[in-house]
Amino acid sequence: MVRILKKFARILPRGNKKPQSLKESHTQWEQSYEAGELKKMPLSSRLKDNLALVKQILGNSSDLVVRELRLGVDGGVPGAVVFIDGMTDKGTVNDTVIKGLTLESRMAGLGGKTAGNLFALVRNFMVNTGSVREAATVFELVDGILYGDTAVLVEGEAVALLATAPGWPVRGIEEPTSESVVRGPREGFTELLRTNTSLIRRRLRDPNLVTERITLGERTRTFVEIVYLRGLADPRLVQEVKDRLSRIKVDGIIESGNIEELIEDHPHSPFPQVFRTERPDRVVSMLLDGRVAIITDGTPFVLVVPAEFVVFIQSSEDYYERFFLATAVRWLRYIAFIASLILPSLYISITTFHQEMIPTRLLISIAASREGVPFPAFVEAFLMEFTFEALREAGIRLPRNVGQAVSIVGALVIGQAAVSAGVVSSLMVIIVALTGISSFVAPVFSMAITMRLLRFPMMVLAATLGIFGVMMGLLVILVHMASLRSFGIPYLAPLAPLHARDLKDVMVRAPMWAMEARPAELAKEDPIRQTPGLKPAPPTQKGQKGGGGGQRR
Amino acid sequence: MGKEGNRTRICIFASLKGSGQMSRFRFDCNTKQPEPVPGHCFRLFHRGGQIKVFVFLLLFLPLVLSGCWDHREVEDLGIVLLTAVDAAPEGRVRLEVQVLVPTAVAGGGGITGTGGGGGGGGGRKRYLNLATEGRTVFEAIRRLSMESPRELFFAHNQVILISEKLARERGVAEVMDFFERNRQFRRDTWILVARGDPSDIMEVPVHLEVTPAQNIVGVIKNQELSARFAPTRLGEFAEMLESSGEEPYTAILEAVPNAAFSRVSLHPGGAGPAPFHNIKLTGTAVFRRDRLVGWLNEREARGLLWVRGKVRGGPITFSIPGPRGEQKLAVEILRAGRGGVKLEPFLAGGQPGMRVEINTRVNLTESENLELDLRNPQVISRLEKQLAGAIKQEVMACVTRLQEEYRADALGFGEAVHRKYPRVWRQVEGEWEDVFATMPVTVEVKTVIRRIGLINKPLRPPRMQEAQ
Repeated sequence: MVRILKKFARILPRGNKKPQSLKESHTQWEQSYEAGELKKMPLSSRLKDNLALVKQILGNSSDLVVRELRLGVDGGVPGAVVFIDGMTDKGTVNDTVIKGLTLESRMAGLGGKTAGNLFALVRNFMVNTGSVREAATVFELVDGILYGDTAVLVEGEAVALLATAPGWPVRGIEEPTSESVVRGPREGFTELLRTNTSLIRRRLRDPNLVTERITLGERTRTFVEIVYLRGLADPRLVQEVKDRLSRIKVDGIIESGNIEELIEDHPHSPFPQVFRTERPDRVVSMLLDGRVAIITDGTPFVLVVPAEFVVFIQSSEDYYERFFLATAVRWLRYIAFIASLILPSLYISITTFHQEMIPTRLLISIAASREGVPFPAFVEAFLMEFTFEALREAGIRLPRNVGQAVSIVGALVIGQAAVSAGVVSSLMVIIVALTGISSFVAPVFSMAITMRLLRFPMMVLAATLGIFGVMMGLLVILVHMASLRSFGIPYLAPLAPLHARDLKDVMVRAPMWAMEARPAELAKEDPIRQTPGLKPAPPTQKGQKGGGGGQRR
Repeated sequence: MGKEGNRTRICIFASLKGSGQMSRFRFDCNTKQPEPVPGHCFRLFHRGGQIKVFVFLLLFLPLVLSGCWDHREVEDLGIVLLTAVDAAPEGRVRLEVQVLVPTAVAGGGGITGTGGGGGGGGGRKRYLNLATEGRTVFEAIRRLSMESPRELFFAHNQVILISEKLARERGVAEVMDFFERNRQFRRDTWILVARGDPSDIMEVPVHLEVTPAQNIVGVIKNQELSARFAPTRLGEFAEMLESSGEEPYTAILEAVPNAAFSRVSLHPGGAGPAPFHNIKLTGTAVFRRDRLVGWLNEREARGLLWVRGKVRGGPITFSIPGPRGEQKLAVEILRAGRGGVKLEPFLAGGQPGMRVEINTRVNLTESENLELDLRNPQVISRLEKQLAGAIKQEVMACVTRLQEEYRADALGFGEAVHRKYPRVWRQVEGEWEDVFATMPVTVEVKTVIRRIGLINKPLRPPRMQEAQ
């Protein structure tokens, strides 16, 4: 009783919790000591001092370009353009910034005017980029240069001008390799944060689409953006995402996987609790569910939270194909999912403990194929699974043309030679192949990995305790899954806290016109997705159009 | 938490020329634990620390505690497919088992490679027969372990053969106890009476199946198409043995000379010798209590099957008068099943009697009478009546044989009486054999001819009309 009360107390939100906005926790870098020092330092009005300081801070890096020039009709005013080579678009810098300063300053006819006036002229007439801002401290200056801005410094001015002309090398938008579809958009995210947000925004022209930025990593200072639909995503969820992100204090965020590990609920669980995808359409549909996406600069993998179990079984293509096929494929996936987990262990347990369960003819062929195999079924299975995993890993890492050689070796040496040498039974090869194929059916790689891992303890259980062990293993996995939560959502969401309405997207993929509501655990503020009665039908009466009715009597 | 993290300091001394200003920046890469923000974690989220321990224990303790004590690889098993029990002198039993030889079976199996001829298993025998004697069945089985290199595994035993001698002279109750008690023997194992030496039956060569055991099972299953024998499964047999209102029965298996044997095949260059013998069901054994008392011929066994509701096909030939005298017609029974028969006991002067009602549907498959106009419903109903008479004769033949000769209620009439008149049953139970032998039995048969095949009119050469 006391425990229940305690649990209840835990559920209630604490009153003393201070809501922390993303702005406050904006970047650790800005709050760090050295940044504070830099912030305290105003720019000098002497150009040389400023340039020397910048060079000093950036360690005289070879990619730092300092172009000194002279402004004005008589070239009386020394100035400098500072940027990092490769981070800026050189054409823009040359055409708009440098050309403006060198040529147009003459036409503007600035001479020995007052300093403030001069800077305003530079700002208003000479630097012709889309966005400029002023930097008054060394911090702002260095920060801007590192982001890819082009800094303009003028002698006698304690303010620098930062012109935005970023131009770093980018990969074009390509089809995502890890989630290819037959039907559906072929665009995938790229490494560039802005491109990724634009891919989302282009599909979701809702003013409520909010992106909020946070900079993570003391040194990499990676831009990370939280994207959600205001009014759809639970504000508590959004707040929680912000809280968890602002907790992160590391020196580098290289990939969104780094973030994933730092924000997930159960770091020791083998199950993925954060969804990641390369597909903008997938992100958009998940945003429409009321989820929150986390886009990380420098990687095409976008994180989406919360992610319950069923999300990892659904593929974006499910919603593009007609629902019969989608449902069938989904069931295929469920079966393959279970098969990839327990097929080898079932084989082991049945052949070593429960031979009476096998139909006689099958037993005869199993016995015939196992005849002369020197290993017990478990060792045999373990060997083959190990080989298969090794082959798979080798196939991924190797260059493509060598990878082919690996697959030939795998097929011939492992499949053919091992069987004819009598080291492995041919049935075991079939089982391993089936398992392998089944694990490739998982639409999301992170869930496939989980199954790959859990297969091995299951095999050990099968070898020691038979079907009893397999069942026990499955129960443990089930209990574990039921105990998981992803950002407040129970991991087995529409199944374990049963939401009968949501089963439409779990057991089957209901037709689009039947999926009226968003997931019950999400989007509590706006649960209805579409108007009811969208089911199309042929015209019922003359002249009266059917389909999309809703009003039909 | 209080652990001091790795602290890296990079100091840059930036000297500012001219101003002489010295500034010191400390780039502090702070990798130590951040201060815990009070209540920063959503309290809704459950974190299971205990679960982890629990999972760990569940996963790993059983491995340590139990080991693999009853682990048993397929290749260590001697898969027994056929078990035969015979009477041996001095009250002992002779047990013979047929063990599968997997290497000889392997179709594409790796290690068999030597012969290479996948078809037919390279001439090696695909089974091994082992025989021994013991005071009991179990003792004999354990004695076999002295001869068998592999642990005998009976869960896939297909057939139990009981020799006629054992069944007649000693009764089957003693050996049945073992088969019922042992967990490896299945209740769906066929139990048959072997006429002749069981060893011979177990050695009859097989061609379509892998082993004689499977051959026997195939023959048993296939006999449903003729429905002239009544093989019984172990569970059913035991139930009938235990019941006071019915007596067990099962089919008799025999090795018979191969009718298709031809000497021509023995010529040099010929197809090779055909087997001299075949396996065949030759009758149905009827038991009284646990002893074999006699057998039913094919017609009588059909009657038994009718009453037991086990007719699932099979031909009936009957004849009607035609232009050339009595001419034969054949029909095929469509699955009659249990619903096709009703046993209705009645009391006549305090003594139980039995009314058997059989409904069946058939297809006409053959008509030697070339005059019949099968489009005429009246003709059909005449045929149906004739057919009903034929079925009735089958049943009555069986009833008469059982009542008069064997006095064994294999039909299960006693059970039917027991169910309907429990009080009467209590009185007659003790002397059921006598009551059964004298009880009046009436049989009513209703038949429906469903289809008459692809042709309406009989196939008839034109000149036959002139001959009439």
